[in-house]
Amino acid sequence: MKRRTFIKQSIALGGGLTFGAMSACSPKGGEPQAPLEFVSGKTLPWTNWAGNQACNPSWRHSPATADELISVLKSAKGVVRAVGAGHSFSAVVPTDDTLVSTDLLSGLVSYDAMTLQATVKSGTRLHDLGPILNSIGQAVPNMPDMDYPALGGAIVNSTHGTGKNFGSMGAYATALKLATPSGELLDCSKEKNSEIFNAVRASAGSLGIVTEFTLQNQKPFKLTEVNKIEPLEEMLDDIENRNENHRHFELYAIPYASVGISVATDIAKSGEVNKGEDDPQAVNALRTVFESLAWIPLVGEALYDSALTMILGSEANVIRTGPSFEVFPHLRIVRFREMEYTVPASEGPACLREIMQTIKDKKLPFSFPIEYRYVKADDIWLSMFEGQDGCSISIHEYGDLDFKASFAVIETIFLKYGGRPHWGKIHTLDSHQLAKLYPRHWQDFQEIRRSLDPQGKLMNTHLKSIFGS
Amino acid sequence: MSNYEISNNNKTSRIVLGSTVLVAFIVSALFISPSIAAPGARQIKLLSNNCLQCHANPESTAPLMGVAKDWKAVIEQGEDVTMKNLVLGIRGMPPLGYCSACSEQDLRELMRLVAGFPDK
Repeated sequence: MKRRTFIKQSIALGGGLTFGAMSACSPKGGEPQAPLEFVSGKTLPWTNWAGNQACNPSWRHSPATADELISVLKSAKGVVRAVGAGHSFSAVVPTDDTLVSTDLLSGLVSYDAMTLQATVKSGTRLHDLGPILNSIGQAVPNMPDMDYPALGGAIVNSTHGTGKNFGSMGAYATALKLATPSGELLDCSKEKNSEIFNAVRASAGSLGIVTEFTLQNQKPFKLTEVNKIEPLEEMLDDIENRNENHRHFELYAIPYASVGISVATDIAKSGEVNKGEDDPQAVNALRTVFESLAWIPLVGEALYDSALTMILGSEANVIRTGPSFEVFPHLRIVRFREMEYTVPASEGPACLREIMQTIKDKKLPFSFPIEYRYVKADDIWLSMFEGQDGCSISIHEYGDLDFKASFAVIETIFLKYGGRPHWGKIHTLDSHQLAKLYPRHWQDFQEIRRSLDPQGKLMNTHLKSIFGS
Repeated sequence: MSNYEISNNNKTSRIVLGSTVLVAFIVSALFISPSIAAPGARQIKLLSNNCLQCHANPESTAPLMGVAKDWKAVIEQGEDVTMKNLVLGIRGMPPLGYCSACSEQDLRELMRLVAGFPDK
């Protein structure tokens, strides 16, 4: 899909059909409402990327070494929280007491060319990770579709990419070092402190601050990603073949539209070249068309579907090819808020179909595409993929729009299908509800948490809610 | 495992963003506004980890460091407005420019460096 063309066509169509009636619902540019003020010389506020979480930490620390971090933890006042890039939508970071940034705990520690393992500091941003590993002849087997987060935040919140044969980021960690709230530095792996190792890799940062991870990598490889516009139902009917035939497959369902976007990614073949443009502003164009047409009584939804089918149907495929760490991530510059649940893989198509139908039936004001991915089962205690292959479905809303009422409707569908919420994204579950979703290891995790943090130094309001006091 | 230990923390920065490229960005910014103090090693790491992922990436659509015309409107709005936008975020620019480790002073100095603000 030539999304530059899409923008031009869709804006022209949207604007042409509304006769200036847009004023009541025109986009505000995706601007989140800043929750805190900035006054020079006063406490510097912290806000997450999405603009829905903020705090005024009294003490900020940016340790550059594990020893410095240990020193900070031993003397820290009040509730201590760690932050990497601040890309989580859930309130895992906010504290008005002590905020520890891992920004300076970044870079390569060591590597082994024989085993293809590398030890990397936890504050390393994913956008740095690819080039770092490439320079030593390694690459992570899979990555999320954006590379802004820090490695530590990505792993402890179970961040993932897509691909039925690939686990979440934490599944590729073979060892880690954990700085505990009491100031110990623990080596953890399958062989050493194995229970802590299984708990930390999906802990929302409730057990300590990881200083470094050892990753099981592979040799560098190139990928080619092909984006196509296809009927959504055809993709869902064929989903098992898509997953089987591609190294990575995901799709985007567009609310109220019968077409969606397929994204198939495979090892690059000789001669493949880039085609078209990947445009991060395309979602704003989608919003313009939606807000121009969907409100029209009786015929709005049908018009919107027809318009999108016509516009998108004329677009060519977009092909992106290159080193894996350049193809996996996409630009994300339009601000949004996100809720994601992982349902058992076999339930994915039914769950998505019910979401799409509910959006139409209840006329929920969604136009942002819904992301639909598959992830392999793992053995990380509180991973959304623990013990079962998962289908992760992500609902988005623009950063300047209220998401709560609409997300609540969709959340009930996720729960009906046995969904587990992403630790770093928006959900409303508390510890009692979450415990039921993790029957095998919830109590094991709680015992580890209480042993490592008996005084609850790391427990902010959100963590108390999801893990209990 | 038999590791090849790397003890020099700065090596990461060189791996991620070749030192020649990084130095070129900084020199170009200092050339635009020669009165700006050169950043220290810590600030260079913050710059590399955070600011340059967009302001040295033409695909991000963000104004590019060292390209004076990209910053004309920003400089015209002044440092105080730009600083507020930097801290709270605006359009594609995330709050604090992703830099949770930055103090207000770090942010001001990196803002002046990246945007090429002239002397007051």
